[in-house]
Amino acid sequence: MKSFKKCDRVVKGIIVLLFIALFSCGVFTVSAADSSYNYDAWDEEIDAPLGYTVSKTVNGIDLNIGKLNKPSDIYVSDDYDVYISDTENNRIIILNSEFKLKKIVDSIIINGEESELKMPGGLFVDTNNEIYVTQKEMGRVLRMTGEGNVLDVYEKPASNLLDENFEYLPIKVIKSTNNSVYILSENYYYGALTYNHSGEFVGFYGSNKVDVTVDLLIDYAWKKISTKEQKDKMVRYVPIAYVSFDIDKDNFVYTCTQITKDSHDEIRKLNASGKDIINFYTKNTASSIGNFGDIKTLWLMGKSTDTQFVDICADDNGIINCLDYSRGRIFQYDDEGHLLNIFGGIGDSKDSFFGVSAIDNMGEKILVLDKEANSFTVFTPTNYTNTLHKALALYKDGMYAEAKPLWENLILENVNCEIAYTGLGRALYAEGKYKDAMSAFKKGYDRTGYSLAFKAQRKIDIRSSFPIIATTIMILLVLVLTYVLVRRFILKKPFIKREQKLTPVRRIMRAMIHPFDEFYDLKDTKQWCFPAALIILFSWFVVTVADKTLTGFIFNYNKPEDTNILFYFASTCLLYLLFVIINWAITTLIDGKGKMYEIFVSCTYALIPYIISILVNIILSNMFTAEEAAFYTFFQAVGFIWSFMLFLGALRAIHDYTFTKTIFCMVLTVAGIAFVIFLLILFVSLLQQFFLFGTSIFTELLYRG
Amino acid sequence: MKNLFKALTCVFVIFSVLCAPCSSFSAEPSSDPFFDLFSTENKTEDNTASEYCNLEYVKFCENSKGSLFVNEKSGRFYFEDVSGCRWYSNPDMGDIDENAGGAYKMELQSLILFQYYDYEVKQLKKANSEALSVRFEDAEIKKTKNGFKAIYNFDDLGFKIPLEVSLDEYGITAMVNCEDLVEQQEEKRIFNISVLPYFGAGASDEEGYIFIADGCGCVMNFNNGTYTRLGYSSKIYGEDLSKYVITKSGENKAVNFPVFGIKKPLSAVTAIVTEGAAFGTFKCWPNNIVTSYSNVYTEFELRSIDTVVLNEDHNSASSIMLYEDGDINPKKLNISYRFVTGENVGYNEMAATYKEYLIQKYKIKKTAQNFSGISLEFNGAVKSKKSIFGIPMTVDTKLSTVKGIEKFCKKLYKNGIEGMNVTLSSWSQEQLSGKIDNSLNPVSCFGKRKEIKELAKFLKSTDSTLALSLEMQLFHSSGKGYNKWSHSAKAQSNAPIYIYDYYKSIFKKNKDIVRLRLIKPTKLSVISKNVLKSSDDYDDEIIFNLAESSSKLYSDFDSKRTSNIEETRLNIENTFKTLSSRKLSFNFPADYAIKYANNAEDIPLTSSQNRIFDYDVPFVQLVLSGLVEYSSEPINLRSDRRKAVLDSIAYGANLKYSLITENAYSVVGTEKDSLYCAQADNLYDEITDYYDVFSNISSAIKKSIMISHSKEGNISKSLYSDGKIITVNYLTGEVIVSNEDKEIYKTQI
Repeated sequence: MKSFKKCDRVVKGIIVLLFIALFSCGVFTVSAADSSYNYDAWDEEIDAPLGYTVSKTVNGIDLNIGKLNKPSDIYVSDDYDVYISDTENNRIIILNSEFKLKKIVDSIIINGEESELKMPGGLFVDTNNEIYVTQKEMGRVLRMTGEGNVLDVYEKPASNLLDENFEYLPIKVIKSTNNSVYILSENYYYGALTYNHSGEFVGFYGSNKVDVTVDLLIDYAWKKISTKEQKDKMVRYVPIAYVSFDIDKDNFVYTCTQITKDSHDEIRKLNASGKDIINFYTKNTASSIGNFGDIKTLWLMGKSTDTQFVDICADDNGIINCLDYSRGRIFQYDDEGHLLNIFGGIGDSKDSFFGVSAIDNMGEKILVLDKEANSFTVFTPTNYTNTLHKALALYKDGMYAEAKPLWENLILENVNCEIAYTGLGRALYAEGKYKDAMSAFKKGYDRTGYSLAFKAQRKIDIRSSFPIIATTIMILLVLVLTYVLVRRFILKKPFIKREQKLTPVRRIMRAMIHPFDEFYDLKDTKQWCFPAALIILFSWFVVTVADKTLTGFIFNYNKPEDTNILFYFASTCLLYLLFVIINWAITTLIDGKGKMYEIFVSCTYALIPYIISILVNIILSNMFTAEEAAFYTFFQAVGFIWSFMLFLGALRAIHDYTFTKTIFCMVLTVAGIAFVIFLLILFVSLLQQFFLFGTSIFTELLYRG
Repeated sequence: MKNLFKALTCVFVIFSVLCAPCSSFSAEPSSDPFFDLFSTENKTEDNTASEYCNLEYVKFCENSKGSLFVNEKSGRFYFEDVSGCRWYSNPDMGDIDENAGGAYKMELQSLILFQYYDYEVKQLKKANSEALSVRFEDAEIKKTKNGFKAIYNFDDLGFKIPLEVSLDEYGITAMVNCEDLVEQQEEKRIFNISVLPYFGAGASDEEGYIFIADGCGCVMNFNNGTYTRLGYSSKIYGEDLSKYVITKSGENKAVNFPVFGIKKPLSAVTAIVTEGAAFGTFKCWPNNIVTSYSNVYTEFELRSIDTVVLNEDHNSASSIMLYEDGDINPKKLNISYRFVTGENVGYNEMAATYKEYLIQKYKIKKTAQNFSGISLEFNGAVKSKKSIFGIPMTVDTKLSTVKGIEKFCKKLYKNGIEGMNVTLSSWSQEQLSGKIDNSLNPVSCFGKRKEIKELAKFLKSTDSTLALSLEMQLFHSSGKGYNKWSHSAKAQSNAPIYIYDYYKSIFKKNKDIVRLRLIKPTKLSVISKNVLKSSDDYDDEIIFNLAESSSKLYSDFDSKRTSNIEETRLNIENTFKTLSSRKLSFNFPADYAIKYANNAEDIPLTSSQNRIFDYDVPFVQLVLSGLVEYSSEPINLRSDRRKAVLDSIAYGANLKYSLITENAYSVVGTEKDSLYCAQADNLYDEITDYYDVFSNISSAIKKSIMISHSKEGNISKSLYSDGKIITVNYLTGEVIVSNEDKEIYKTQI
């Protein structure tokens, strides 16, 4: 018998990081993937075909120019020459489109004097094959010919617009077709420094916005009442600086930010005035709109790892490729923020990297530079991606019919591809096949498209069934009229209103319309109906569940398979019970006359309008389009306000309060509920911690024997 | 004090070794500037490389394969094969390697590397035979009948490690008898050992390559300029599943054949791990990363090390290293180095050598190549989440039905497709419910037993086969006689071994998907007997598909009855033996499973694609050709389907599709969403088209065996035993079957 008693606690912290690095980066070398993943409309990870495969990896040895040394940027010119900034070798390497060596620029001529090209960084090559290269360490950007003749030097501008402490550390450069040059300076948050065609500094372009967080709002409030000295000591909230940018043929500038506070808006597409114009499609989970990169964040051993973009490139069709340093991945988006492909990774396989630094596209190919492995990798799109790009281009041009076979093909290739269903839905809608379009839009979770198709189909359905409906109504009217006439004039029986007995149901109905009178009356007569109250409460629970599961697709943002009645039971019945208890407890302290039983029953009566409004909305949601959402909201609001008024009426009558005191009592009740829930959460959390502590001790004892 | 003295001595020795060549060497002319550094004007042609380092090699023995020369002080040796090529146990210029820093300089000259755990200082430490034994003249080299036995004494550490090297009819054999390995000090235990880590290492100026049977097989040219941080490392038969894995970024292609090779200009060596393979890990380094040499070797795990992280999701997380105590697990470690000589010897000859070894060891019968059929895997059902009136439920969702499969197969048959290998996976009720699968009941939504029998009958009539996929190792629910608490194999931490699904995006465990457990290896024989009993109801012709069971190895650390990985392997092999009264098929079988295989599915078309490797080679296919019928991985799930088809043709593999017969959308939102392109009717035309091509190729090569393969640029050529050649042009998609330059069949993919 063996024992495994001896063990060793490894110091936390350093090991944590090492551990993550080792296990996710290659102790277990992992195969180059043959499939990838994407996120569905619910932000769940789903399998997807691989969008790009590695066609070549090029290193310095292959090019017979010695090992590259920390290359920092790669740029593909319009004629598909590849420029690599081999930073620590102090040279720019120029390759042809076949990735064969064309030229090495390792020296420059400024004002007739030749010198070494030191630490080249960000690269841009214009249509005249003039190279723009940043030299961060030297605080300048050079414009030069391929032979190294420097034509212009962009140094730190002398301008009042710049801070006194501004340190000019140019890292990236681009040039627009109207000859404006944009330069990004490291950690500078006012956006890109802009120079006109004459090389004069003209200002800043497209700075990021400050993330509005709770901390910021609190600090803002404090600053309002602080002295100047205090303000100086407080944290300054400044926008987060861009780390890279790219420009397309239409002069749209694409920027990326390494980390944002809420992991949103890392990617922006700026127009001439610096406004972000990415037009996001609607998602099921509103919180993930604008969340680029991996939606899930890795939380491991108390540390989190999120996407950190370091470079961006966009092609002529508006396809955006962003490079994530954290996991060496490339995220590809269209200009509506649809995530099209994810590929690459960290590790030892051919499609992975050790430390990515730059990305650019060469037509459909994508080139990724690895500064740790000192090589670059050429990715070629798979057939799936080619089809997807073609379909998207046609879709953007409104050529839905032409795109239809491509979308169909994509669905055959990848049944999980939601964007393909949307595209197919558009094509089917254009063809007038509204039912099929609705089905496709539903699979693509495109509620706007679904609403359009639904509206068109509803019109057809109403038109086709109108004769039947009209005839039925006519027949019913004739029958009623006949009955009335026969009874009145032939049978001579008058319609006399009889005295009605006040049954519990009638009382409840009366309370709906005359709450103040009726609740007082009920309190006096004590004619509460407990079974009715139970039925109403249960109905609330049932319609809440029905609301989540049966509401029409256009208005329903719930994931049906995740619906859990226990949660809804807690959020209706249990919450109601808590309300009753807290209300009773509070009102006993502030002279309330109501008993718990009375609170329980009377308040359930108040729920009826709200319950009915939910019920009506469930029905209407299956008949309304997105454009008619106002009606849907209206019914909901009416139900809610009506119920609220009834609540006030019921509580006022039961406790014999004034109106103001009733409001005060309700506020206290809500605060009481919040406090109890807070205590419950605290208790559960403590229990969890206690359990965790117990299991840790137990496990450690077990391991250490 | 003694340690300090030793350290100083080491530094002195290293310094003298580094200085020595500069003062006294005369070298052969060399094109390598590295060698030129030490060359003098008085060069003599007779000087051999050994003189650089003042090592004297004495001829110990010889046979028809070559001669063994040994340095009697260190045990370093070289084998001179019949071509005159010398295979050095360690690079002769290793001790003056400028690229090798620190310990690597000593490792370059060592025959044995090992790691031991010092319980006193609680540290895992590296050691090697050169620095801590040879340099202190503690190594004993004894001549034996066919070679020598080196005993490396590590006095300070209290270890004695024996290494026997002997000549045999194939070349040489290196053997460590673990029963003779001595650990004198209680507080020091050896955990892993690497044997001949630099044997045949390729220098920067040498031509040649290293081959490893990773996936289908892959090749790394010497001095290919690639970069790696941690080198290549892959466990033979896959990772030990008992080990704790905190994050996982994907799956490796398995190394299911314990073989690697080294090619030099006139000679090649095939290294086969003949004993202790289940404990072995192949390691490989390209030139100029840790040393100037490309090397490949096997590291054996003598005792297990595991890391467990407590409260991994919380700030209070901490990790604990667990070191196995007790006896050394493997009894013997044996690597057979088999040499072939000739100008163009390479991986083809390595495959032939390995194939001969397999035939001899496992007494496998050679069969004629059957390269004709199409393999179809039908996925039966999946558990999916549903909410019925707000009540969350997990229900069986059918992906295929037996009737649907029969209908599809009939449709194929009507179109002339015969000889199909049909496999039903995720088909049984137990598999779906996470129970040990020993009663062979189909999922009700998938079909009935009767329907399966009818399907089998129909397939038999079309010269096709039906295989039922079995899962006998993984489970998560108690039932069918097995309890998940008492019958689960235990990890080193004493907790049950849990097999998780991992997120592709963040590499973390996906705890929404139920974690699986592994059955105790000792239970496998009972399960197999029960399976056999339950199978009586099914036709004898029905095959059992044992999936990847041959590469699903794990240790069981249950305190009552421990089973190391080799014992588990033996248990699994016994299971195959028990079940072999029926026909069996495997997905990418390990070497020891081939004997029992009627056919092999899912043979990889690629390797793990590690960046240090230059290209993939169909080594596994070359070995399997003529031993067992084999198919590719499902090509409908490959990113480049056309290339996969061309690879299948070039590698002589049947085409495989993984299919469902129900609506394609039924996989969406389920655990089987990886079947995103699997709807049978959608793929019908493609299957029939490719079948035509494959049946034509098959009739052209007429059941012969693939004996060699080569690829230049985009053109691949596969030579068959009857002299026919299949040429595949990956650029144009052209496929030509020819015989002595006469075209027999030509088509375009």
